[in-house]
Amino acid sequence: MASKINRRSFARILGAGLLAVPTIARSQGTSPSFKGQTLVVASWQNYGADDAGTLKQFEQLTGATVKNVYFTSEDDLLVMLRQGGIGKIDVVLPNLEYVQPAAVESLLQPIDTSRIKAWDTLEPRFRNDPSIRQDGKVYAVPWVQGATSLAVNPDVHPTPTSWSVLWDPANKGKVAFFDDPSTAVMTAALYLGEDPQNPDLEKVRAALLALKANVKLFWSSGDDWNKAYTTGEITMGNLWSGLAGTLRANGHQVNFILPDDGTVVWGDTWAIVKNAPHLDLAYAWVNWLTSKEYFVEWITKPGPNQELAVPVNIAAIDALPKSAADSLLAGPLIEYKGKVALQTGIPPKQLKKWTQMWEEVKAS
Amino acid sequence: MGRRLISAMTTPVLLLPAAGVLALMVIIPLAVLVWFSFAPDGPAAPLSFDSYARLFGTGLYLHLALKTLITAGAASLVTAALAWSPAWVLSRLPGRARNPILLAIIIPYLTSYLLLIYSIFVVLGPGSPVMEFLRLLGLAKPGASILYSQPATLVMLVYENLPLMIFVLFSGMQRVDANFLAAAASLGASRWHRLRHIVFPLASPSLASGLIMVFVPMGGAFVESAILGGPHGLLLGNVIADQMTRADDPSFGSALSILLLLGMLAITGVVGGLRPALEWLSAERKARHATPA
Amino acid sequence: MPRLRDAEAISPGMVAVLAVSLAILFVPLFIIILLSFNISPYGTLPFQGTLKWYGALFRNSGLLAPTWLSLQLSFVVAISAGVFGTTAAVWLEKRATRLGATILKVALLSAITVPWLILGLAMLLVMNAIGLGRGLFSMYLGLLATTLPYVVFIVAARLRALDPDLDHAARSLGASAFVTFIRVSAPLILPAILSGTLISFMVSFNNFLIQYFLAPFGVQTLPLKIYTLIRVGYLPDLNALATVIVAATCVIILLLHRLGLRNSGLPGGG
Repeated sequence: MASKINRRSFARILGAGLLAVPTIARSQGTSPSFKGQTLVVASWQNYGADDAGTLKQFEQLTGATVKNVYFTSEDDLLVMLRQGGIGKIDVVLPNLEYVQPAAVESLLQPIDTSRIKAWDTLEPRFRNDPSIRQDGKVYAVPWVQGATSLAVNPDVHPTPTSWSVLWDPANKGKVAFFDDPSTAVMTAALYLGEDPQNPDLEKVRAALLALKANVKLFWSSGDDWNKAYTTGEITMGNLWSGLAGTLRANGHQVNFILPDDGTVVWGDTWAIVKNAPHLDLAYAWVNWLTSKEYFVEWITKPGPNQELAVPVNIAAIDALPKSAADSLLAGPLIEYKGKVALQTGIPPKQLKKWTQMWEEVKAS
Repeated sequence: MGRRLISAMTTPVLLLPAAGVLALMVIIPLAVLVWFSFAPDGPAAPLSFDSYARLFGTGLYLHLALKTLITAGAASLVTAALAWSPAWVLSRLPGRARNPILLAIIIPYLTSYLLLIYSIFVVLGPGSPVMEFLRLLGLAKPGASILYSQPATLVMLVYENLPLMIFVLFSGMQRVDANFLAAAASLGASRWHRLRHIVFPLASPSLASGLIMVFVPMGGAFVESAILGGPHGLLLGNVIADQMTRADDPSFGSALSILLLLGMLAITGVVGGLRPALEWLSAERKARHATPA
Repeated sequence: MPRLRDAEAISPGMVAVLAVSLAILFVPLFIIILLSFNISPYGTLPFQGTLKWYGALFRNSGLLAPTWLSLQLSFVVAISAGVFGTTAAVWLEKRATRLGATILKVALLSAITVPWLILGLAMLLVMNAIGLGRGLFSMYLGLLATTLPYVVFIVAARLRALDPDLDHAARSLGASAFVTFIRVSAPLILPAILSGTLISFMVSFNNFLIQYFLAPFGVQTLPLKIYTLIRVGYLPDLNALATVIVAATCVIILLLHRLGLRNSGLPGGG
């Protein structure tokens, strides 16, 4: 039977084996065969997609180069795609709330989840969420999460357990509140005990107007908060979990609490743009960014000024060293048993009403 | 014949580059914005007045517009007041001394407005030498700051526009011939008299120009109030900006902008009408002072 | 004649006034320079000295390339605005019809009234419609359109204030309109042109919004780099960058002064 394995068939088997290597590598999502291609990535600046260390690793793994494009708001992301982005941009980082609007406008293409390695280890809360789906197809891969929750200066205030501390008249002029309609409405709804996805808008308006009396600053960037907090202008408010971690890393004490009455949780996702010029490379990117190797590298050795966040990939969280996971408040976030107001899935007409109401509260 | 041809070609040659750029980048986009303001439900839907209805529906936006105009007006006047003296001194200096100073004036503004806003943040914040000084004078509580308030926005708006105002006033003040001043002085006119009757009338056209150039962009300003203004320092520009970045309602934003533009054109039409009057006044003064006594 | 000298001279009082005004103008700049040596990563006091932001700036902040692009772009825009704005101002004052003047003025005022956030978006739409799209040329056009008003208004105001007798004298001596302009009017309005050009440079350098909408993907000017930091906010190396820019500008001004360009080309009042 030795004649069965003659030279020709041996060559065939060897050839097949050799061919298999790049194929396997490609299914891992990484292969130096992307040499010469340039991936165009649209995201926030200093938020993982432009971290020098991990970027270099990706470029080595694939042989491609990466061009970063930045937007300054989620709406800008839509404008960027609508106005000349299709056919030029490959991957984009929409917030969970913005996946469906983008998909409905045909700005994104459906994702073949069988090509996403980390799919099965993504936290079910996000993986199964309807707002990444449209017409039964998945349009985005959840990447990181965070909470916009209660933050208090421990030197000035004892640890609160409820949002009502922001409404307490004793704290007049000491509060900083995030300038975002859905965060505002959901937080007020949690404070009132209403359903955060569909509260009584008039009650919410009254509560927000009452809150405004205490507010010193409506913050929209991390820097707004940092300046106000570190100079003592404000001593409490709502804050992104990632920013709380960064403040602590810079030596400033801040007490970050997930209150008993509930907290607002958000997610950022990676989506592939319609007519992406480098489709396979785009999948390689998404696979790399959601992998535990990437997260461990990014979170333990971030570039300067990178804003970090908690991975949605549970395997990645488990792979992190304890100190890193703790500074990100990953544990409390995953294990939180209170009411989670997931910041997504509000129908567009309702979101528009919330936004108009918020505008009026701010302008009054 | 050659002269005629050159003369006929002059107008297009002079005007065309600027007119072309303005037509392409301002007039046509403006038309697009007007269209947007009537299309609140997107490009495919029928036109409607909904955006304008919402604008006038509550008194909120008109009140905000008024507040913005008052803030911008006050900031413009303060800017002019602060710019007057340095502009005057610069116009009296010989070129040798004056030109480096003119160049030097724009140096702070090459560092990006955002950095300047942040530095004003430090100036107005608690612990800054300026606040300490005010505290010593008894004008401020210890640890107080003017941050996150309307005055903070005003300070920033003034500071941003000082160079422009200085340049414009300086440009106009050059008209004031030292000989007139000398003649008036020799005839017994006091400093104040010379200022009121010679300098001011001659410089007022450029004062009017400067006020317009400074006032008009302030109507749409929003970065300053976003960072320094606090919750009660909101200006019309912030609402317009929000429509584009948070609310995804370019129709409402366009409607607000069109109304702002119409308002500004009306106001500057008024001020512009003053200018011929002021010029006539200054011509009178000049004639009177030029005639031998 | 003491009175004559009194009216013409630059008194110490006047110098003091100028000095105080300049000092006020430069306070924020001193703060920026101070903060570039301060340890706080948020750009706030109290003060503690360090050089680390300078190190960060040159090593890995990615601020230097955008700065260079911004300088080049603004320079080209400023020169264009100076030239085209002046010719437009001449047209406005000498040859415009009532209707033409009004249309030009409305266009110029619109360019600085309509918030650039919304005008920039509209410009992008138009650029896409005509096939130019985002690009360096589109950005140049957008910045030029929004700086022309400053040049035109400043130069036109100065032209209007010129003594017509000078023109008449030159013409009556046989000079053509063109020659009259070059040899009589132009030298007198040169300081206004210089002012307008400098203002143009400043405005276009800082015009984040127009750049945000029209810059090609992947290309960054300095304001783009700075303003897109909005999520995290502020980068402490910015102060170091600003200090470097200021130092470089001062050196250039000193050089120009030394090279004797103090007086040349600026006879109006020199």
